[in-house]
Amino acid sequence: MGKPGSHTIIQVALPVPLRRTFDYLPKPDTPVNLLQPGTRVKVPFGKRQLIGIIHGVIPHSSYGDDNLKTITGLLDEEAAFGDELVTLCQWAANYYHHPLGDVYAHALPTLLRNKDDSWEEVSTRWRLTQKGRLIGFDQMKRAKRQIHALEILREHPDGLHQPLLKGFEVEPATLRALQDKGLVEQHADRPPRQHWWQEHMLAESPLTLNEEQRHALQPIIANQGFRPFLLEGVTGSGKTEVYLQAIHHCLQQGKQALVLVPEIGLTPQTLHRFQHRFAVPVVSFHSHLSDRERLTSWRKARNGEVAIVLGTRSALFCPMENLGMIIVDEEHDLSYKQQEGFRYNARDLAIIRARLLDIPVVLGSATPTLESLHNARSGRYEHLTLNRRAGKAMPPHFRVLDIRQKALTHGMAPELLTDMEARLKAGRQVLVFINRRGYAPVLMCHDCGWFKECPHCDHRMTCHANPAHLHCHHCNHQLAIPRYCGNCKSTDLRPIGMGTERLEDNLTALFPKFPVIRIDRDTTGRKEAMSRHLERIHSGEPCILVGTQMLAKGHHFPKVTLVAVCDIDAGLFAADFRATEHTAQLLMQVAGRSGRGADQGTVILQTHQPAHPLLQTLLSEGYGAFATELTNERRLLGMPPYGYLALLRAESSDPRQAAQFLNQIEHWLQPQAQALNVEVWGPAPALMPKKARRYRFQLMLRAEQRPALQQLLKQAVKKVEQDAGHRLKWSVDVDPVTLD
Amino acid sequence: MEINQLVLSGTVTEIKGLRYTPAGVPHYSFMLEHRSRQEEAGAPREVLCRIKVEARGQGITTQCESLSVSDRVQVSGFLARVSYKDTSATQLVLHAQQIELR
Repeated sequence: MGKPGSHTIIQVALPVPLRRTFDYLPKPDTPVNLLQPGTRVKVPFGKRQLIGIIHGVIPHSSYGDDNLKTITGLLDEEAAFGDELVTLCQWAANYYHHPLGDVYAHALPTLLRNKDDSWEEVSTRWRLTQKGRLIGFDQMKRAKRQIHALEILREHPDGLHQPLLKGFEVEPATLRALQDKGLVEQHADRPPRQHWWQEHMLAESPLTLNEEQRHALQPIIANQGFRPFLLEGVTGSGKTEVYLQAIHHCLQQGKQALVLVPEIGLTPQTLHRFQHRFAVPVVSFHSHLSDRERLTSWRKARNGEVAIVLGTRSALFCPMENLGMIIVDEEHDLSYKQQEGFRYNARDLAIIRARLLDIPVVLGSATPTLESLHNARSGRYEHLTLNRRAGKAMPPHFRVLDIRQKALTHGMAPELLTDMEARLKAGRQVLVFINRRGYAPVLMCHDCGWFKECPHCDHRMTCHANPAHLHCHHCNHQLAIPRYCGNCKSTDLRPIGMGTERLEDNLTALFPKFPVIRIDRDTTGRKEAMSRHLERIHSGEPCILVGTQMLAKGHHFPKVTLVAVCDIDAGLFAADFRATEHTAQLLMQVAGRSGRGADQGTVILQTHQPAHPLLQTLLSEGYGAFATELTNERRLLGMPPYGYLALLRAESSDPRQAAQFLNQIEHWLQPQAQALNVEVWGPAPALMPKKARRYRFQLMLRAEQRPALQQLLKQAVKKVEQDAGHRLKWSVDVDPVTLD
Repeated sequence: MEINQLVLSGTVTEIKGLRYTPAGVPHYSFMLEHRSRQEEAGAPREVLCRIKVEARGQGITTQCESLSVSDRVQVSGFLARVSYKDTSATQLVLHAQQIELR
């Protein structure tokens, strides 16, 4: 093992908001072969000690080799990230123009981000050295404790672990004193790694695939090397079964699989399904786990102890010993895009990771994003389709209910209520979808029309009934419900509009014989709460489910035969150019919860806009035709997938500062943008111009070619980083999914 | 200061009942029918009007709880428009400050 020479400089990426690495000297006694990129190190940084990641080792520092500080220490003997993840993080930092150190920090489990402990499960064993075995106690003078420790250790020639020694009343300080005298030594024990591979991988036999599923599976398992697949399968068409069999094939090759899902907390049955199918270990990786549990999953994946990792967005960065396939389920889901800090898209990075590893990647959805569909239709991805529901289930029947000039009971038309009652009496379940939690979206004074706005945001405060309070869903500000109108001091304040809580109350009053189960963020906040709700639903008793988009995600409720959407109109008219796409996806996903069992399902959509083109195309010709129409619209606008976008956002507590700053940037950027053929629009106020006491503005950059946009962004970010003061918060969002 | 004071007696014709605002303030309302003989243009004439009476707050709503249809009451209070939607502000409600059984 070589020692680091005078020409070994370590470049360290640190979790600070600066887009650069920092040079350090290794400790003189560090073997060079441990200085691998991806290894965690602790370094002095100003007055603090920070945990960073080795980015590279270079012979000379451009800051002068003599001015460098020495690292405090290496934290791991084996790099936390393999080469492939190091490359992936660097690619991501580059593409999303985010500080590399922060990208690495994001990719690490929290405990490894903040704690010095090795990621390996190491327990320290103390044992005697040769000298310690031979030394006479008379030479120990009167160090009674040390003599006691030596006596104990002489009785245990293999050494003892720290906790056991503590039991013998041997303190760590005593051991360290003996270590300094060269009488005892530490030995790091690593528990043996249990490799996941075993002869029989299946715990239950696979389902028989139908013709379409076989056609979809074949190319995936016949594939060698990198290839993206888009598996477009209508809701209930059995995509999961295709994944399971593709994974089985992958495992048989001795390789692990990584499965990304939108939210595990919401769909525990997905995890159960994987665990029931496979005899080899499956771990989950998501935000409902404790930091300790996450580290354990991470370590097992890293060491090749598990076959399958099933996780949410951040699982994309889970190190795998020998990864052979990535699956991104519900690839259209917005949760794959991180909306703050490191704004990456896990679906897009999954493609990059698969390319780095030269393995297949499967994106699955009933309602793929226009980008993915475009890639599939242009041949960049292989397009696999499932057009029929699996088993005997039939596609749901859509019914658009025109509620103009109808007498509504609590926002529901009489036809809808009759239909609901009939189904409940027949022992079926009914799902009522409303994408608004709380009791009512507005608390209004009936005497003068005033309503309570959030003091920090440009938004009305939502009225909650249980517990009674006003809540801003944008900045989390909470208030007691006011007694008097803020304008005329009248007491006649009334909740206006419908939220999940109110709908639950109203339905309970209308259908007293049937339980109403509400599922939204407020009823599922606690761990296991969702599971309890789901258990009740799966018990099959007739009931009414009321919920937000949480109910739309991948659930399989065989007894639900009617899905009602109270008010689809809000989604039809939104300022965001992607809003129609998202509304259509949500609608199809909610609709997909209907009729997954033996009976055909119905979907009733209440609308004031029965002739709206979105509803017309979507319902009569299906999502594919709708997507084609929308894609053509995007082509005319030069919007994604025909054109690439980035947003430069800035916010300040001063109403003008952010706008002025972006104005300067825009002026500075314009000549270069023109040379690169990139359009720079703005600055414009964000869709929500004031949020959490800050005024928000944005510059939009649009280009026909990705490299041009990247080049301009590089210059822009450099300039912004230089010019932005401390009071200005800014961020760059490449391929934004929402414009708010 | 502008004056807004009305004293009106009559019969309770309909009890709209008690409700609470989200902050827990009780609101009680009923319909009051007034019939009387008044002097106008030099001659006495018959007068009929009906108005909604609104009582808000713990004290006055407690008084209202004993009311029933056909009770004769005298209400003093002020006038206000029925709702923010009535932009012409011509539909009026009598907000009770005092209610006496007669």
